[in-house]
Amino acid sequence: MMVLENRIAGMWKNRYFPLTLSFLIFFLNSSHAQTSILNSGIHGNFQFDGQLYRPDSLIGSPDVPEDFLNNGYANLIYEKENFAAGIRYENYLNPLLGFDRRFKGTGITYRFFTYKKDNLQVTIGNNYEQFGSGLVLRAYEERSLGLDNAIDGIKVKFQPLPGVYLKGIVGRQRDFFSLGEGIVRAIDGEWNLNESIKAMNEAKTKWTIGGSFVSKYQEDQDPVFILPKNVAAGAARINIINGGFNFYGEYAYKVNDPGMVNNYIYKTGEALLLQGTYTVKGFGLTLGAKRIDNMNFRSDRTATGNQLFVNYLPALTKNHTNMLAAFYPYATQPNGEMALQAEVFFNSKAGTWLGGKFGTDFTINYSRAQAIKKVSTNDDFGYSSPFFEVGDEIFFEDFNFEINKKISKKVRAILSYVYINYNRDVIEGRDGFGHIYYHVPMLEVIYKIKTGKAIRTELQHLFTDQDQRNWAMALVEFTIAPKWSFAIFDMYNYGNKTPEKQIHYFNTNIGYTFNSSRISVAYGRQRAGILCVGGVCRNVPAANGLSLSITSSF
Amino acid sequence: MKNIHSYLIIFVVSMFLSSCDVVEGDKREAQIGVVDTGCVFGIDTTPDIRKVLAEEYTGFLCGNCPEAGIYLADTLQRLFGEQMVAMAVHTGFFSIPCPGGACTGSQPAGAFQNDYSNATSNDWGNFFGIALYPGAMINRFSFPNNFQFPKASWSTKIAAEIAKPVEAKIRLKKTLDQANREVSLCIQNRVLVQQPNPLKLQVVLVEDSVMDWQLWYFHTPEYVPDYFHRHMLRESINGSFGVDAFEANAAVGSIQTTGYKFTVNSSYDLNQTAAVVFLYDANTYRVLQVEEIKLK
Repeated sequence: MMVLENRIAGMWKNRYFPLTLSFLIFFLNSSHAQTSILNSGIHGNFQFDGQLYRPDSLIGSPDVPEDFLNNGYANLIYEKENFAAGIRYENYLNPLLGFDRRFKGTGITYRFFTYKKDNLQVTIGNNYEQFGSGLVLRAYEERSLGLDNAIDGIKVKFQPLPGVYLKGIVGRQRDFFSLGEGIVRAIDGEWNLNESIKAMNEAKTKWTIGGSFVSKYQEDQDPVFILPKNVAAGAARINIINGGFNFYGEYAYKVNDPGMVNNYIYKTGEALLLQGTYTVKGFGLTLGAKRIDNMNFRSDRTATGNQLFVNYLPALTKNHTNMLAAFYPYATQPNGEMALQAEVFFNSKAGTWLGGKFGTDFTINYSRAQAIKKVSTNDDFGYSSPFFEVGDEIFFEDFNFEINKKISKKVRAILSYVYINYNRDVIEGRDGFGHIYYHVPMLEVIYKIKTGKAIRTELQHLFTDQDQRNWAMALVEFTIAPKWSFAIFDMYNYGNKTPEKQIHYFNTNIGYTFNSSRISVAYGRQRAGILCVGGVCRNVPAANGLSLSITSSF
Repeated sequence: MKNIHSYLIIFVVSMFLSSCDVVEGDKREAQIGVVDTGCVFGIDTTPDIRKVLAEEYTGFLCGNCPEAGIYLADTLQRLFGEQMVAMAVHTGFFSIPCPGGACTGSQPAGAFQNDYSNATSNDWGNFFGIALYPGAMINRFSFPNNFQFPKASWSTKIAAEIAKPVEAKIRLKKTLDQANREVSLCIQNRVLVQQPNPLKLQVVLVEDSVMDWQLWYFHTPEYVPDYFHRHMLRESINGSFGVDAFEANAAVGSIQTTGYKFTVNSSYDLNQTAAVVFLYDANTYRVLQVEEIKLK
């Protein structure tokens, strides 16, 4: 027999339970509060994801002693005039496969109250916040990744002058059911020139500039290194908008921050992000470039995985949603990368040769992430890196296009193609696997039978000589809007070198939606892989079984 | 009012701007063990054998742990012989002395007063997110996914690790000044298979057969006053996560010779204390090779 313990969960519950209880009693027990609730807004939402696992040695799904695992979340928000308060209950009994086992348990993981008076807004409790694009601070929740780095503390927003916005926050970050060791202190200022300067009020060109400063504190108890207890990072940004043109640029700098991820080097960190878009009717162009060098920034220097991020480093790659194309997604490399992305969209009007009778949309996208040049310094700084020099190693490359065409009043077809060069060793932190080069052509057809009823089909094929080699996939989905959806699909790894691993990953799914609630039940196999959202990833283990998902909001 | 705003902003900004430490000059603390640069090794004529670190996480208030500990220290040690190095890491909820942690108040008076957790065991417990008691990491492989194993799978995991190629070699020799409890430990590391990541060297002390209280569910009485805690991790000589040994892609045959001089804590029994030395991948934490040497 074995014993699984999670005392942290208990601590969390003990620490916050009295506060939460007081909070609820305050609102629910006084007659005045009852009236307030009735005359103001309470809203919330609920999500439950559960799965009944069954052993499947063919796909390598791990044995689940509990058989059934679930993740559950419920938010309750109360708002009245300039006041708002809320809590979130989370339940992992035990966490779904692929989620960190340290989530095991239940408790109130999020609670806050906020009020706004004149130009001042104060929030006490858990805070989500982002400065600029997040290069020096982004506290957010991404449930599908098991990521929640909310800052538990105090946040103040203040507008001293028209167009000038100041934010300050102090606190500690959520670490599963506890709080991280480090303290985060952060301020941000943004100046909207058009709002501040009368002469620019009506100007066609809109200017916004901003700056951020973030500092984290953590004790130095390391017996080997003399570690900086206070680590600071700063950023400056600019946003210019003129008609269909939009430019955003941000530069961030971080002082010495030795930690687990950068292997305890003392080099400073830098990041530059440039993004430009140009859109007019029927045409859009997006260009992006970035450079990241030693910018892993966490409130605990020993943290790894998706734990205790202070900042966010966006990925300049397309987030593919088609199953086979999304097999090998890109994860941002905080220790160093240079990346660029370009995307062109254009619409060929109806009645033209390209557009046909109903018009056609074309999208072409290219992105590439590559190493930065690093020259070893053989000291505690680790390396030096010339700012504009690119390293030799390609981390990720993606070329894709999509043609979206309405063929008749009842039929729409989407033809797309993806080519990806995926450096598995770098992205997954593994050894000896090299690159995976793959091509995925896809055809999606939507046929409207009559109003509210439609059939959608997808055919996809993945060609590669690496990893598990070729895959084929077919999907049929029948929708009776707005309530029912039925889907059935199969992914077949027919090209696997090992005959017994030429497996079908068959899945069925039924969804029922009523008002703002949805229940869906699915049964089938899940392939082991990686799930990424915005360049942040988690491993997804192989699984087989019945899953149930319920979402609801009020 | 505007002046108050300005002063407030200036105060906040200046407060924040001062929150930044740049470490100038020497960036390393003096270690518990002082690096010994005088180590010399002769020609190596010993066979290259792969040894496996079996790192059990336990605590004296973990009632299911004794059976696992005995299984590791007796059954598996006999089975794998010198190819397995056992280490019991006391940390977490079950290692907190009474009152506190898992103490329910029903423990015998005076029991569970000694704290066998230490800076290194706690750092490891926190970093690896140990939640399985009794559980073990075997060469720390597959971290961070599915790396804590229950007792039932230890033997197969250890056998699987032993069967892998020998990737590195560690040679040890020591001298002991018994009167002053001073040890000079010489270490020679050699790369046998090129590794894509840097390697780190970890040196810790373990003490065997420490007699003290243990909760044992399948024993009568449950509270055992004279339980022998086997292979207990006592402290690290070179920090909780060791020091750099080899850079990434170090050539096959690369050798590092180093050593430490240190004084053994007076509470440890010199007859039962050993140094455990291991090389691990600095990025994945996978242990490539481990060696153990008794101090006396």
